[in-house]
Amino acid sequence: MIGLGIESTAHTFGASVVNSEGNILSNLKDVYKPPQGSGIHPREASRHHSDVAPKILRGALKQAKVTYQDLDFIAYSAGPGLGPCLRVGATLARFISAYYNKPLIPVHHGIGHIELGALLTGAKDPLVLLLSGGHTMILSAQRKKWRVFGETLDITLGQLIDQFGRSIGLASPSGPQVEALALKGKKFVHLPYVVKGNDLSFSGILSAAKKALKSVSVEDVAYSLQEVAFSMLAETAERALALTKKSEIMIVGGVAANKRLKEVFENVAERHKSRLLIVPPEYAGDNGAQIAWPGLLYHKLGYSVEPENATIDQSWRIDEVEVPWRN
Amino acid sequence: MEKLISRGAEADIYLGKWGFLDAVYKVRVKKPYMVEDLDAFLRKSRTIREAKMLRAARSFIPTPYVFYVGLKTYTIVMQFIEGQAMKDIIKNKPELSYVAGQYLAKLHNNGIAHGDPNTSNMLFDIKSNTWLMIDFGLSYYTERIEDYAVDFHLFKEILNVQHVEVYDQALNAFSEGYFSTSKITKDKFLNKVEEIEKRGRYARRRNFEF
Repeated sequence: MIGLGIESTAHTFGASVVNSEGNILSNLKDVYKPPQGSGIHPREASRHHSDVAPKILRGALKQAKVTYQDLDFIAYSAGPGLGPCLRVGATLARFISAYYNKPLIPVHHGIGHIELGALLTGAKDPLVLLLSGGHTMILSAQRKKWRVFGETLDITLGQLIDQFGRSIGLASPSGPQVEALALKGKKFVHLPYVVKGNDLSFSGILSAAKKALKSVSVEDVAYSLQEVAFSMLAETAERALALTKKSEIMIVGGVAANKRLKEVFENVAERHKSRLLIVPPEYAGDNGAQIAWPGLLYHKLGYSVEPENATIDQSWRIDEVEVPWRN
Repeated sequence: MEKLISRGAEADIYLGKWGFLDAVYKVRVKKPYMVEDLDAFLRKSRTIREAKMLRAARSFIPTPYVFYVGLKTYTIVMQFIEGQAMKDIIKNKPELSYVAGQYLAKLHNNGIAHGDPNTSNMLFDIKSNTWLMIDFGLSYYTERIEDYAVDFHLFKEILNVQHVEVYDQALNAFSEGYFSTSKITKDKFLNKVEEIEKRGRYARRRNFEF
């Protein structure tokens, strides 16, 4: 069994072919780069996606040595994300599905990060930290759903880092550059540490960090911002671990590539005697395989939608999604 | 201090003696991953806050007695409660969350947000046959309805992830308990809770018809 996954949630247009043995036969992508200091413009990003789509799709099939006829299903990211971007992927998927008469499967972008992470790290029943641009959530699977233990009450960790980066003139996504700056920081400045039960709030850190720039070096602010935000996340994860006694922690999503985050969570895992699993950096950011793989899991169980029902949802909530392979 | 009985997110709990009384030692331990400054600040402020709020809340709901506060060791010594946590028995008795709702509303009526209300922080004391509320490290004085609504949302969140098999009954009982006591009108309050649950996140409900 083989299938194609199309990702087009935000910056990235990606396509990937996977098979039922869990092999990723191809995984190509092209990332839209907004001008320095500005965020992603949905219309511009969607134009980028339309422009690169033929090349990426062709490349993904060629690398996997398959044709459209060989595929068993087409999966696409149906949300959450930016409407114009999501529509590019969904339209292509509907077309391919209708033209070649292949089952069509909508996949939740966040579920994609989690399930691809589980495939690549071998996680069985982990406590999950989903840290992508659109999500900052702690989850565990129960009764066929990924249930939210805690999450941000305002902006996500990814947005905090990216918006801070933009405010100092870096191009988005600016995570790696902010991380590099933080490495040079030495002096810690206090920024609002806001933990409410299992939930977090990052918006106060962003405004305080911008203000601190007037009196403190960029490096020190970047360093302090990371330290405070990661500590907050570690504390809520510790809460969830203490309650659930899970033996695995898995970190997925773009922020998972941050090395300081890894260090912090190695320590958390050790304290609670669980195993830390982090999605490999090349799969941390958005990519087609995160759509293709859950697509395959759905397809195995006979799930699909008719093209006329294959819509998108910009604010599709993760704990509403049925994941029939998780008990 | 004698025996480590549990390791939580921010503190280790030991069982010991205070004079001739059984006592719990709650020690906020150093987090090796945290910047020293931040770590010390959090441990100190939360130790102070918890001791103060345990006492303050006692005027309105049952909480354990505080025997001693050690600021240099970030330790609170308090009354040992022999009994069970709500989280371990709610599965068979979802109606128990009624009292959690009542207690939370009583705190809110008196200008206190708990900050971390959940089923692990409700203990049944066999000796006095009453429920106690614990873990006030994140609690604070506030007059904002929004802060009370966050408390309400946090409890809901825990029911959904920890007690999903009895979610509906437990939430109903919790809500009934809350509004039996709260001074805020139900509709107004629940709107606020909904607003918080929608904020900055993906909140629309939809399922694909597979």
